[in-house]
Amino acid sequence: MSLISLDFFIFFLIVMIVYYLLPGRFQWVWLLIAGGVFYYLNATSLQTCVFLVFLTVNFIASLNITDGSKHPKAVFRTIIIFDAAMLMGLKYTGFFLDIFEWAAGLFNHEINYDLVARIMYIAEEICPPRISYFSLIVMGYITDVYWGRIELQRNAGKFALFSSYFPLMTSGPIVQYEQISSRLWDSKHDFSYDRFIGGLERVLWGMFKKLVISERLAVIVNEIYEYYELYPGFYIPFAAACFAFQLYTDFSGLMDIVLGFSQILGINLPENFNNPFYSVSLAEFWRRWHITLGEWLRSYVFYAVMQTEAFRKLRKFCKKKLGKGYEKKYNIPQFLALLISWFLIGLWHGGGFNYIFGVGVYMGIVIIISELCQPFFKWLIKTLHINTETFSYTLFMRVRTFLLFIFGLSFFRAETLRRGFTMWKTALSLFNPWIFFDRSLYNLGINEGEFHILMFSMLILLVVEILQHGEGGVGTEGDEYGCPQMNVVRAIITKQNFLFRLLLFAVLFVMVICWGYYGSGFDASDFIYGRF
Amino acid sequence: MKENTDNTITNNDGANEAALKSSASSGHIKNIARLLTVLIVFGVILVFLDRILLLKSKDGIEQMKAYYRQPEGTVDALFVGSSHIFCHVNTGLLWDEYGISGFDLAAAEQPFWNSYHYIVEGLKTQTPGVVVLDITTPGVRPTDYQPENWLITNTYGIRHNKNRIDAIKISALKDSFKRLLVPFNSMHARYAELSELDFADYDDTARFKGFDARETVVSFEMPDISGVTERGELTEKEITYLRKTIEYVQGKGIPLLLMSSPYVVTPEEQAKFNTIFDIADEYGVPYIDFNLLYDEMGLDFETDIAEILHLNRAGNEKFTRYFGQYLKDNYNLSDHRGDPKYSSWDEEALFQRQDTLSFNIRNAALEGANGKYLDLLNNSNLVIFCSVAPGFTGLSDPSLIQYLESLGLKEDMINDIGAFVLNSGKCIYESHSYDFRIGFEDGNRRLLFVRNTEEDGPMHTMVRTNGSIGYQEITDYENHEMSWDNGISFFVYDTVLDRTVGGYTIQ
Repeated sequence: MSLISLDFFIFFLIVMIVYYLLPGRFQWVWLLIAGGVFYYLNATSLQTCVFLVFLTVNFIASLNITDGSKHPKAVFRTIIIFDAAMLMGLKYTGFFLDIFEWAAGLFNHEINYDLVARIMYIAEEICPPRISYFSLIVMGYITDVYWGRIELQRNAGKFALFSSYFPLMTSGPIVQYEQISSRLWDSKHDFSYDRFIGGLERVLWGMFKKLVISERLAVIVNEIYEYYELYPGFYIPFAAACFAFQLYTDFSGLMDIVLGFSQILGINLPENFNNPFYSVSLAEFWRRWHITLGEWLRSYVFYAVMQTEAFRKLRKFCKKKLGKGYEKKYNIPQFLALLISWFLIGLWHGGGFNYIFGVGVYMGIVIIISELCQPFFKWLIKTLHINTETFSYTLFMRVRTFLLFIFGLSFFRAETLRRGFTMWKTALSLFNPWIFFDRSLYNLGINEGEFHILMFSMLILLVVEILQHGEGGVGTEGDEYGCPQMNVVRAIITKQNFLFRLLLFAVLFVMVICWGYYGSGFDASDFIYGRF
Repeated sequence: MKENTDNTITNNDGANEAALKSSASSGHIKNIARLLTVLIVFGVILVFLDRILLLKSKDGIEQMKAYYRQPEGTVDALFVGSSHIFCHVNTGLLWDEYGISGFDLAAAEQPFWNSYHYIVEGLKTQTPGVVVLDITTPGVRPTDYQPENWLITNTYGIRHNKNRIDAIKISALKDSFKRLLVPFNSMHARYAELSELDFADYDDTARFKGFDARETVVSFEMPDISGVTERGELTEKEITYLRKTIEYVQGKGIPLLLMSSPYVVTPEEQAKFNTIFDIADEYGVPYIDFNLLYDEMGLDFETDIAEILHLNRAGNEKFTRYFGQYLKDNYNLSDHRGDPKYSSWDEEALFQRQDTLSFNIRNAALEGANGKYLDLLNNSNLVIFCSVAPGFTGLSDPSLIQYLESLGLKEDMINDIGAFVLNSGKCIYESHSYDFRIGFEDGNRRLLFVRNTEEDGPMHTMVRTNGSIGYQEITDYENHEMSWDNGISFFVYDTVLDRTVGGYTIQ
């Protein structure tokens, strides 16, 4: 059941009406039931059973990892290994089998392809949908309980609700227990007109991003990536830039929809995007893009890795060899932990070296290099007398960050690492700037009229993003209706007269209905991040 | 004293509380009012978009929309089925010749299940004296599911009600049902092709009766299926819905007549019609096999066929005359001519007469028959723009001068660079100048008759028209440039059809 479908709207309407009719103490139970139904409708019976087994095992384990338990450390390690193995085993079966096949080839070992096919089939059949999201959510909870950061949840129902709250069972955000637990069951939620309208506006805005912008960009991106041999030179960076905007409008649009729906239910979820294209460095970019995944890895992988025995020894070794204060120049342990985190980010995006490199290791390496080159950059700025407090310098930094980002991201879209590199080789094979002037861009699957709609819609997006980025737009506290990042735009809109707001809302609605890519001939229900 | 003060404080608190409560309650009411406004506005937008984006197709959708506009209880003969109905049953002629108020409630490639739902919808507002069901498409192409484009033309004209949902459900594959239920899923991409027709419904009067003639002429050999006695196979679904339709109409106590349309039929198709006629026999439902009556109708397969499946205008007139007489003789159908309640059938008859005229005018122009062409222009609903080329020396054929005089153009007026607008045998505008502009307005349509002489350049005489011309044309601008090489050029606009009939030059 896609979030953009009649089925989901009807489902949500029923959930919402019953939810607000129920007394406060039953509201969370209703959400749990709704979550169960929603999951069951999106999975097979077998997959639902696997999901339930996963939750049950984790719940039981969570009861045995607190201070008073018998073997908390052993249980904790076992359950984390179990969860990680389940994620890796079921989600990345194909990837590991490919590696195995390659390794076997090195030793001239015969592969039993029947067995491989059978394993692949079984993995696909039992892999519960959205495992990449709920497994991280649950692993985070288990770790927090073990580390004593949060109190153990002894109510199995509440544990299950936190792990399967239905708006999250689409594409995240990857929430942490503390962020939403109290909102889920601690207070009664009354229907609020402002929250309802605010939520709907956000859902509509998400649909605008997804159906009007992202789906149009997808046509261009698909055409160039599919037949890249026909599109040398500037077409390749153009496609890479289009893909960056496609992915952004697709995923952030989906997040707007998820957060908007959840907001209607009075449960504000953490933001996953914060104007990433305004970042002046790649490190900042990733703090603004898929925020909850980054936070999860920082909280549970990066720091955990840094605390391991091996890293403690490494730090000691570095101190001995490089001297005191080495961290300021060559913080090797931190770089290593960063690379591990980035490797996992890449792997999380998909079982393929194109993911591991493009949105993983490459990003990590660029960040490490830029860290290492900081003294050189500072010297350069000083020597060339560059004023860094200017708009032009910030713009330069943003463009540089964007270009570094789209290079890595282009591998995400290319089917393999090899194809990614071949495409960039094609890009360098011809200098053809005329494609931006001779109407060539109108022949990439969408005609001139559609192209103009795309440009106009992106202009609207740009205006909203500029407003959002204005003072107070970043990281400000959410008002009673939540959604901090939307605050600036929301504040501007709420200040307007009712009729003007209604007009804005209506125009957006008409644009989504008419210009949206959905229905016959389109498959708008397929969100890129929904596949994980 | 103290007590009093306390009381005062308490009273003030009470007043504040009451004021707060009242303000909260008024805020509550305000929010409810706003919520309702939002819902109403969005509802109105949806209805508006549904109407604008809906395909304006005379393959079925417009037929159903026009049907809703008929005054209740006025349709005496209801014709249901596929394109053979709306291409063959000339409702204007039926009215002109027999006074029968008929309606072609048909859609292209209509299978029996869609005919069933069209009849269910049709009988909600009308109680006809006869329902005629065409069996041609189910006989030619028996199937369980039609392609989506035909599904849309067969269901999207029906109002949003249970019957429409049922019609879509039975027509759609299981996986497509929900998608097809929401019309925007198929229609929203029409934003790129919206035209005047989508916003201003030309046929918002009750004039349109579903009939839409084919205009081409293709000659075929007359088929002979008189010896075909075999029975062909239909799908289970078609048979079920044929039976359902018969039972439904019989249950309503309305006479039902089945017919197979005249066209270039094959023996295999005839065998399937035979199977359908057997089922009709089971229920005692009468039927007519028009493919056995070519001679009786006077059909000429050289001139009366549009393409392999349909008759053209000449053919449908012969067919309708014959069929109308049959209906008049066998059913209790009153002659409503002269009844003001049925005035829309007068409009339809006039429309069809003008349409036939325009068909004949175009053919005369194609044939190069000068006399015939000028004779046909003698019609009060035509506005004729006429331009005489520079250096024109006069007509050699004296008979043509007579025709021109009957149009309002006297011989002494026709000389070098003359320009005229003629209507009802009168000249309503005359110019002998090298440059002129004359505007003509008829309803939404504007025509501009212009001559420009460029310095040292050519001279242009042209008639430009605005908006979409004709019912289904989607060009938003038409530019007819007249040729003026030593002759008289004509450009004709029909005020009833609200479209141009075309141009012609007599050398």
